[in-house]
Amino acid sequence: MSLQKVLGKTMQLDDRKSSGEKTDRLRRSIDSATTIPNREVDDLCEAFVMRVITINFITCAVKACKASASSFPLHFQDVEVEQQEVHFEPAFIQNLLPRIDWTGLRTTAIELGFPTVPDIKPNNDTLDEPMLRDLHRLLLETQVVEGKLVCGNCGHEYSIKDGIANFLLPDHLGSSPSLET
Amino acid sequence: MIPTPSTSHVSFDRIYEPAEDSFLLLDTISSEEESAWLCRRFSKEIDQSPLFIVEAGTGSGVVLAFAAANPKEIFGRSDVLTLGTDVNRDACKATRQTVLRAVDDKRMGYPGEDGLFSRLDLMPGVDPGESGSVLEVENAETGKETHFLASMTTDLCAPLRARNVDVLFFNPPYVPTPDMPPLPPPSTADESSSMSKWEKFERDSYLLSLTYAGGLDGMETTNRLLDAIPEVLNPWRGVAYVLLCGQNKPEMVKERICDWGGGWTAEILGADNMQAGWERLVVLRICRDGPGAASPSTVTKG
Repeated sequence: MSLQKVLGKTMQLDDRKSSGEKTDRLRRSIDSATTIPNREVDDLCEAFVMRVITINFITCAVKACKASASSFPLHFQDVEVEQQEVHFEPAFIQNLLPRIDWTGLRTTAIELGFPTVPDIKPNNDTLDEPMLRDLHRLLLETQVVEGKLVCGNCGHEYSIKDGIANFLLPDHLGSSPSLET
Repeated sequence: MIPTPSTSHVSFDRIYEPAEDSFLLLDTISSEEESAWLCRRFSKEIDQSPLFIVEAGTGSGVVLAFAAANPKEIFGRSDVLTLGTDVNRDACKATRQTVLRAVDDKRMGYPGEDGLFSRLDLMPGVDPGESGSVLEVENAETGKETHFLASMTTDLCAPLRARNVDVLFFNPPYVPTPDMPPLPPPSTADESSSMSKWEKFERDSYLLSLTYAGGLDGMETTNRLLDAIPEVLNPWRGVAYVLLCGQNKPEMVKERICDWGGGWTAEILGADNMQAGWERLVVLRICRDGPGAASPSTVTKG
């Protein structure tokens, strides 16, 4: 039964493919069957992990925590980090700053042992290249490989393995209606 | 046509293989009309902060990779941050590889998988022997401001901070089914190598069921994502692209979104060129277009 359903989403598409209609999408589907050689980037992928800036865009997955200020930023614990060289584009970092929650970043920087983040968010007058380089290094070049992210409100721990954080929730914390069926 | 990102490294035993629904999303966002709309909405003159692009339920990651590798063509700017989510940890791994390969392919001037023409063909007078370097120069900017942040194992947008997403993609499990597979518990996200053949088959079938089974009207998962949209999208410039099939009743979904108020609107795109087969696929574009939308974001410099 389940296999038959598996074919459901794809079978309808196969029907269309065999109808012989030459569309861009058909071309796309044929093309994606061809392969190109793997290159160094695949080695890079193996090593690739979660950039620190990710922390600026996430919070606790538990719905009840969203309203609480202490659910952001999530706290890094027992982390293993790696540095990966990334092309430095000063204007990019400068334009990124308005999106950064500075208080949160300060907390993260301290947890990761990054001493150089200033207390107050730099503005265009106080920003200089060394500061932009420091931020670049922390936000984009520092990668979290292993560890935990902990919510400051509910204490829930999210594990990070091979740079992939796991935000799936146990039944009693989840919000999915499907879990009740 | 912008080439489809390569997914030759992905095992499709338990990850959804890119198909016409994925390709409709790619063609829709890269169409002349749509990218012109996106370029206007995300003009640097309005807001300089880099775009935060998220795909929920990435599967192979082909849609996110397409956006990450071609931001200039689609959004008119190359400074983008991308992030993918999927309940399947294997899909998370596949996604980061698909995204990084696509960005690298673009930078190296690979023609992609069309194999139909390379950009070289459009550049008369270029000695093919030197062409590699010419293309590298042409695409040198690619990847310098395009940063893939992470792949995360999660249900839809659950851990995303409010009002931050500029572009959200979702190709849902849209097939109507009598019931919904439950979401995996946290522990299943970890690989277990000690499975019997049968257990592995069961597990793969279950993971695949998550890619298509949509429950009532095929909308149960999509409805949960729609509910999250007003919360996660950047209220000023955010836009979401959600794929729907005819049985999802796109017109009704569209009306429902327009009833949210607060300037939220929905448009049905890609409907006229998808009439073959038994099911009609469309892309729903959702954004806020009321007064103040697409003006400088709430965040200010300093």
